[in-house]
Amino acid sequence: MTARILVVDACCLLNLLATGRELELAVALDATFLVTPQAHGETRYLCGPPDPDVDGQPPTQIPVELSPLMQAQRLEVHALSEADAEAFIACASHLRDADASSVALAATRHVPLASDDGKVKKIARRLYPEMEVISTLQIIREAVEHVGIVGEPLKQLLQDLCTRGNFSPPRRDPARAWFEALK
Amino acid sequence: MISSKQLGERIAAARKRQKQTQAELAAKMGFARTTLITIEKGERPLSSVELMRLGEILAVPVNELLREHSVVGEVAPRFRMGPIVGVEMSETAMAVERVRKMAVRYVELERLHEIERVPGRLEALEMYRATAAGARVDPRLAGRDAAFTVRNALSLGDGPALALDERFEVEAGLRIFYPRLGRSVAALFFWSDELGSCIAINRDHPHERRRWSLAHEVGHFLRDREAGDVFPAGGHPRNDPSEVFSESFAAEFLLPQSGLSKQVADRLRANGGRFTPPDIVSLAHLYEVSFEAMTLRLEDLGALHKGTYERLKAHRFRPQDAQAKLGLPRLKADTPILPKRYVTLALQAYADELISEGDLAEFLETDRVTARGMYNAACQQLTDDDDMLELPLGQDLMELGGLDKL
Repeated sequence: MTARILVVDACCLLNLLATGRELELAVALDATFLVTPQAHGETRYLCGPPDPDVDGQPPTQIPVELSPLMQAQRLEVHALSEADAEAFIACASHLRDADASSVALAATRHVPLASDDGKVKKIARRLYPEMEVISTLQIIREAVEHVGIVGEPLKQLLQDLCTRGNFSPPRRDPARAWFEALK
Repeated sequence: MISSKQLGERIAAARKRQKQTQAELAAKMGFARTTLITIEKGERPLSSVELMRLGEILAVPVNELLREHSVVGEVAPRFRMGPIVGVEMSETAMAVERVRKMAVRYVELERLHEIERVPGRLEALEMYRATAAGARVDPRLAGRDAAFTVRNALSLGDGPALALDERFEVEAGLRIFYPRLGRSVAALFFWSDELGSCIAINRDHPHERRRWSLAHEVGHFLRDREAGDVFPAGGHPRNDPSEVFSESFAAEFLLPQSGLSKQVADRLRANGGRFTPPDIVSLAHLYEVSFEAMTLRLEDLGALHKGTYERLKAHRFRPQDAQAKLGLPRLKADTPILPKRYVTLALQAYADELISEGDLAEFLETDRVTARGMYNAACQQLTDDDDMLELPLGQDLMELGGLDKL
C-alpha cells in the first residue's frame, strides 16, 4: 500500500509519461496514480521524431506505454461508480467526460488531483474549493528533490517532457520559475 | 445551466441519431415509454445515475448533453439521401455525419466566444433562388449572371479568382471543410438554421478539381440552399436545372468569358496568331483549373473548335508533362481539413481557458499532444532577429486601442 494516492487526469498522465521516468517519479513519491477509464482513453500518444517520408517532416506519434506503471501497481484505472454519479454530473456540465470523471474521482475519494489544464483546474477549484490541485512540475520537483536527481539527468528529464509531450509550463504554475531556471 | 426542456431536446436528438425509438430506449433504461416522453419534453428531471446511464446507452458524452454551448445541429430534413447514380450512399452518409459534427463544433466555438455571426453579403442574394421569380430564367444563363454578380461583389474583376475559401467564408458565411469523402463523392453541401451553409470538398482530389467543386457548391448555395447537394465524383446528370445552374456558375466564376477572351487574344497577338496546347496548359495553371476544364471552356466560348479536347486526348497529349516542361510548378494539394478561422477560434478558446486540452484535441481532430504542438506553434513566432516571440493568443488588440487613430 503506497503512502499517497493521486488522481491524474489525461493531461498530467501524458506529461509524466513524456519524461520517460514516470515509474521512478511514482516510486520517489511513494504514490499510486488513479486514472479514470475516460481519461485513460485519451492518453494515447507522445511526440516522436520527425517522419522523413512525409512532406514537411511532421513529428511521428508514439503510442504511450502504461504497462510498466500498471505492473508496478503505481497506476490503476478506476471507474466511477453510481455513488460518484452526482459529482460526475456536476462536473460534466462544465467539463468533457474525461476531465469531469477525473475531478469527480478526486472529489469523492478526497485525494489530490494532478492536472496542468487551465480549465480543469478552474472548474475543480470552483466546485471543490477544498480540493488539492497539483501540477506535473510540482510532482516532478518533489520527486527529484526526494531522490536527488540533479544536473544533466534532470535537464534531460525536463527536455524529454518538452519534446515528447510538447509541454509548455502553464503561466500560473507554482513551479514555473523552478522549471525556467533549470531549462 | 441548461433547462430541462433543452436537455430533453438533446436526448431526443441523440436518440434519433442512434435510430432508436422511444420504446427501445425506454426499455434499455428500464422506463415506461411514457416516462421517456415526459423526459424528452423536459417535464421529468433525471437523476445523476440515470443521466450517466443514458450517456452510455446513447453513446453520447454526458458533457454533450449538459454543456451550455452544445449545438444539436440536425441537417435540414430536405437534404435527403435518396439514391444517386454512381454514389456509394452509406459512405456518403458517414461523410455527411462527419461534416455535420465539424459544423456543430464550429458553431460551438462561435458561441463560446459569444460571436453572433452577421450574414455575409452573398447570403442576402435572393434573386437566384429556385423559389424566386428569376427561377423561370434559363438556368445556364442564370448561372452565368450569378457568377458575374458574385465576382463584382467580391471585387474580383475578370482575372483568376484565388484564395476562394477565405473570401467565401467571409462574404457568404460558408463553412468549408476538406475531409476525405470516399471515392464516389467530389463534394457535399448542406444547410440548416443552426449550422448555416456547410460545404465539404474531397481532400483526395487534385487542387484544380477541388476549386471547381467548391464553385459548383457555391452555385447550389445561391440557388437552393435548403435542398443540399451531393456532387458525385462522376458528375451530375446534365438535365437537372440546379446542376445546370451550378455548373454554369462554376464555369463563368472560375473562367470568366471576358477575362479569358482577353488572355486568348493576348496570346494570339504575341504568338503570331498561333494558339497551342501549351497555351491551354499555361492558362489552366494561371486560373488554377484542370486542363480539361480550360479546354472545354474555351470550346464553349468558341475560342477553340468543338471536340478539341477529345482530339488532344486521342493524340495522347499529356498536360502534366507539358506543365513540367514549361516550368510551371504543380499546385499543392495539402489544404488543411479545417478552416483557418475555426482553428484560430479553437486555439483562442484554449488560451482563454474556455475549453480544455481534451476539447482542443477534439476540435482540431487530433490527439492531445499534437494539439499542444499546434497551440505552442501558434503562440510562438520568430522575430526578424531569430528570437522566439511569445504571442498572447487570446488578447483582444481592440482593447489596447488604436483603431480610432487610423
